[in-house]
Amino acid sequence: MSQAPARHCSPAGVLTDRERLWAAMRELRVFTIRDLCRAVNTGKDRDAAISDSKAKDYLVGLVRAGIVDKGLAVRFEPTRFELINDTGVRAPRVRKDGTMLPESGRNRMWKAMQILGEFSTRELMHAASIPGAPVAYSEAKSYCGWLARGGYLVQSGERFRFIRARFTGSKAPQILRVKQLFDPNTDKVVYACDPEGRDDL
Amino acid sequence: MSSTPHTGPGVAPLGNVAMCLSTLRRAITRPAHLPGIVVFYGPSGYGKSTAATVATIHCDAVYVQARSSWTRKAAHQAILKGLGVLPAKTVAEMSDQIAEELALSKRPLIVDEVDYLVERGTIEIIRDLYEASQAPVMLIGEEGLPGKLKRWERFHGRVLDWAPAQPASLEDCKSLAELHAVKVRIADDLLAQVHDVAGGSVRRICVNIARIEEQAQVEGRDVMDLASWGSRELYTGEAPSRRRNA
Repeated sequence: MSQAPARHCSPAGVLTDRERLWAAMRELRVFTIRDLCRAVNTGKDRDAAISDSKAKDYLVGLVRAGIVDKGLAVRFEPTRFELINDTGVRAPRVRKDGTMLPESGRNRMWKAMQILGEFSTRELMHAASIPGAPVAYSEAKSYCGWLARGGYLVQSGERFRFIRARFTGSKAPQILRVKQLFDPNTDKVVYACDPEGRDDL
Repeated sequence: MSSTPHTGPGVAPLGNVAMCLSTLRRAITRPAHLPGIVVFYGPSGYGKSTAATVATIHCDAVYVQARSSWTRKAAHQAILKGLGVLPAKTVAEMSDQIAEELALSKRPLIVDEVDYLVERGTIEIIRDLYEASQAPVMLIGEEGLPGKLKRWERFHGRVLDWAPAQPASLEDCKSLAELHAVKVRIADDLLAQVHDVAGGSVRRICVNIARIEEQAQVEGRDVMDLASWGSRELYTGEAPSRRRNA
């Protein structure tokens, strides 16, 4: 199945760790974990480097899902993996047991709102829910609130309107938590962590 | 057309939603020798967008909405944006990119407001993409779309199914009331009235349900029926007539 790849497509936007790994796998086709990490971690600063164990975690899921083939173990040789089922630029969302995860609720809401154009929170909730992965009303409500603050939506009463010019791409904007250490005596932020809560699966 | 909606929980059990979803699924699961383009068409206000949303979300489709300003290049760029792929420079390259990505990911493509493409004569873009990827494609447009597409004979032959959006039924009206009127119960006789004046339009039904709910809250009612609604007007979508002097 390993057809000669015609590499036309590369993903748009900032990539998560898993997306970087996936892009490298599509590039390499046949690789060891070492190869993979080397390909991913070029020219990046130390903090952004992806560890072997993180790559291994993702590979376990992909192997079980039948997307990557794990070569036979040869003594004293690192295991070779091969990408056998290329599913496009989107990194497959697999659990460690190899089952596929549906698109995230926020991504589904982001997609639904550009089609609906004008909607209430409840309508959006229903439109973005799929069997086995419903979107909670509170989640829809808070997400719409954030997007309205960001200028992606305009709110009038209970209803929202999506601003088409603000459709920036296929990935849903994410709400991050920022933790900071603040000293009220000096009115200064003394220390700030990296924002948490990025969609990193 | 089967009328049994095999939609999951959380989906408004509207006739058109079920129809749109089953039509797209038929294109996805078609045997290899059959064509893979389906067309879903109907007047505005029939709830095509809602149906398209559910189909997009449930089938993990790529959705784009055509615009009157779409050139060949703009069309390709918009589809690539929906796919999350960095666009190449030329239209030919972009066409290859889309076809490759659709073929690999096996995602269906949904193009809304296709009338614009037909009028501009750029509908062949979609046929090219379909031919190159064999991905299921759903075209959504206004009532007259099948007639307009007839001019493109090469296109016409590749259509697996034509699905006309249906006017909202009384059942649809009841589901919409359940979905939207959360703070008040609307009695069946009033709903029948709402259904009658709507002329099959989901949009008008929704406007009226919202109006009834608002009035009921003003009056502090839990239930609104035809008698308590009285002679108040319902939204019919027509411009108001001239006021007669009493």
